[in-house]
Amino acid sequence: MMEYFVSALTQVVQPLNLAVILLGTIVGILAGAMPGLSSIMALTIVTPFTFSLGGNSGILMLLGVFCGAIYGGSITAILINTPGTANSAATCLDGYPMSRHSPGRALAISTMASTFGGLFSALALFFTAPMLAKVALNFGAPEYFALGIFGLSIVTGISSKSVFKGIIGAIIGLALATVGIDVISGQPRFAFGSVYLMGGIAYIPLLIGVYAFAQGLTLIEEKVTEKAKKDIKLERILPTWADIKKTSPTILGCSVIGTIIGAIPGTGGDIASWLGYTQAKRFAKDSSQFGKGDPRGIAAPESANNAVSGGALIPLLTLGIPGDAGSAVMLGALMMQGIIPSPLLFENQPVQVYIIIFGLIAANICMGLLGFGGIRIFSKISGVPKEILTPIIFVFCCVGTFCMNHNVYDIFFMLIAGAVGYFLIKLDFAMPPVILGLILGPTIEKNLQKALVLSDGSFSIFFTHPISCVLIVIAVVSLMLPLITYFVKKKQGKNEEAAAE
Amino acid sequence: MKLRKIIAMLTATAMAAAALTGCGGSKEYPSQNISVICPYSAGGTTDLCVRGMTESIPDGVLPSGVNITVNNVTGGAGLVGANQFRNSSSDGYTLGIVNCDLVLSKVNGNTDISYDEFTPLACLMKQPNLILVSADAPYDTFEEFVEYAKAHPGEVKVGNTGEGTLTKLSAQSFEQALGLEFTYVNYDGDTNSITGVVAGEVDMTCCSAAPAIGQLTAGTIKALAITDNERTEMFPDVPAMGELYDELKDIRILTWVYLAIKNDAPEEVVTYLQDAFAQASATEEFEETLAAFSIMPAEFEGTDGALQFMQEQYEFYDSLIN
Repeated sequence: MMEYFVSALTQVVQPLNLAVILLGTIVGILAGAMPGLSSIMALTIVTPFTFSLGGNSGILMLLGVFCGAIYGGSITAILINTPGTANSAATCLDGYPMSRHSPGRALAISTMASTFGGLFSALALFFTAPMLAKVALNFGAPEYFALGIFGLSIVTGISSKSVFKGIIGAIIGLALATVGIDVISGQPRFAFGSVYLMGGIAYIPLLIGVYAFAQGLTLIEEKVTEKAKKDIKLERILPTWADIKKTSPTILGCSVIGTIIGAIPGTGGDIASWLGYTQAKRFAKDSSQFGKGDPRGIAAPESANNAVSGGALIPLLTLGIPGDAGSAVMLGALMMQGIIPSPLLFENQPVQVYIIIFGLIAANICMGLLGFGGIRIFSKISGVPKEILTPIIFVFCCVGTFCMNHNVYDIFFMLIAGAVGYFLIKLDFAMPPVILGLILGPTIEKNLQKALVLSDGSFSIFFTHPISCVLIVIAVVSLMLPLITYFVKKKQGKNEEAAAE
Repeated sequence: MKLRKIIAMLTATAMAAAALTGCGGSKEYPSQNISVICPYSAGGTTDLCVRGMTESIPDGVLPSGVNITVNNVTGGAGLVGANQFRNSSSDGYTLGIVNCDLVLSKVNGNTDISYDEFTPLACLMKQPNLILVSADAPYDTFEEFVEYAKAHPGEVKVGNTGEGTLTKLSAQSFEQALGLEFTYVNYDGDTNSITGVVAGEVDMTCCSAAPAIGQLTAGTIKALAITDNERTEMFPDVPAMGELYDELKDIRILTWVYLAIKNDAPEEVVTYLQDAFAQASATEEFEETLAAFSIMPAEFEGTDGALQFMQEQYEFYDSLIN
């Protein structure tokens, strides 16, 4: 055990290896920060290069890209309200409002939370991987269904003004998720004979459309009413003690959430960041500032999505199941480097496993250093005049969308999504519920069908499995909570009136 | 201002000239980069095999300055890329993929693209599925499993990845032929389905070796048979289901991928590329790429042999599904 440990550590701290981790992290951050350029693309570009590096250096470089890309997505989410990757969509909620007056503070909080989340999950991988791998096996169809329902129940927490419009948004998302070939029957649904729609709604073009493109449209409109901002003075690049104190419980809690969500096969940073955000809001004593630039609203999704990186490696390495498209590429690349995912990986290839863990720790440290070092440069983006920034956003929307799949229909779809998104936003519909519905729709539907096949049509399966039962009960209670508190208050009010009389 | 206009015009002329030389048809093939349309995302097994193949072409085979690049056109479960391949030019500079999924999409009525619109150039993989059950299942051989399934009609749960996919057809093929009755449970992917077997959620699943190898070596699942009529070198101890039951001897459920070109491409282009890929297939480098994904090297049977194989596969699935 100890010898593997030392051998892995000595390999990771070699200067060449540290250099490739740093390089990988830089590539990852840059790719993550560009809307449309995702970790998928960065990993694909880097993969052939890693072969010429020789075994372990290649793995380390990939880890750098993997971690960097998750963090990079938050930079543009905070500065221009355009998530670089799906993982950072939740970061827009509080990151953008805060960056309007203090971009440095927002970036500092996100960097701190990201680094901590990443390190936490790397350590979790180190200590609890075999245990979490077993938990993963307990996650069957009813549990996935319950997790999906639990995820949907948070919709009230992220719908900006009107809860009803939030629910309508979630239903739009769920409806969009039904497009494509149905897995059970093999029949195309709502595809209208189009080959493009048969594979389902393309998720990234939609995301780029409703966030980046619609944001571009909003910026055009602002320009008429509001003069371009003068450069914002960069107040600081390290988080204040007060911010650290305020966000640390959130960061810790969300790191745990992220690691667990990552460890569940088939769930990734997108779900983790939303869950992190809403749990932080739910447990906050004073949640009135959420959505207006609360530091906890940045720290929560960022620590959760970066904590996924370590957690996600657990099902990836032990079961060979990737959590999202990015980790799928990671899986292919690791297999090319001679790692065979297996429950026995920790026994069969211990040195490789420790190299991955140490590499992950090193990559997160690099990410933190680069993040804090780069804040000064990154935050210049928010000082760019709108008349220059807006066309750049539009160009990136189109180029980024096309780069994903080299499919020109994706651009058309992105434009339509952007236009529709813009009007929905004008009508006070928040986009997060739509995205949430779209993310969770397939999980919920597939696993509902699957669980009912397994139980021969009986709904009791959702309540006889303990994990699923607990999740469903929490979901129902949290949906009812506003109603319950309303009635409790009303009753109290009456009692007080009665007492006064 | 005038000067600027002149410069712009000169540049435009130069660019047009450059573009025209690029298109010149009289030059010897290949004179420019060749692209391969891969209908699946980068980093997937098919993509990495295609890249493995194109990167294994020995130095000196392609003229200097000519590269083969992979272009991932994903969506529509592989059909978007297939459509683009079909609509591409037949000048020999666009290659693509013909695989079992394309044939299945046609059989399932999701596309009208037929395998015979293309000329196969090289075989990237061709291998049977494994019939996998949990290691502590009460049956140790395929025959025992069949007896168990006969005694428990409708109770055996089979993990699969959806209607019309190879994992499901593997099970359906012998379910129909032997008169069994399975209950099908859908999973997102082969590995998820295998995890379902390990966790005891389902009793059996069929998939190729790559996603199964980890759990097989860990001893949590066992392979009862392969969905072919002959054993393979990779699993010499696992019987072929065709050798166990006479009813199954014509059933071959295989995962296969061919590199191909449109069938109206010039003859010399086809010969040139087949030769280049034959050299690439023979390299150790390509074998290593395949080995990383537990794929056995498959021999390319030549244009006619490959087309005949595809026809057999098409007819078999057509009879199984329709």
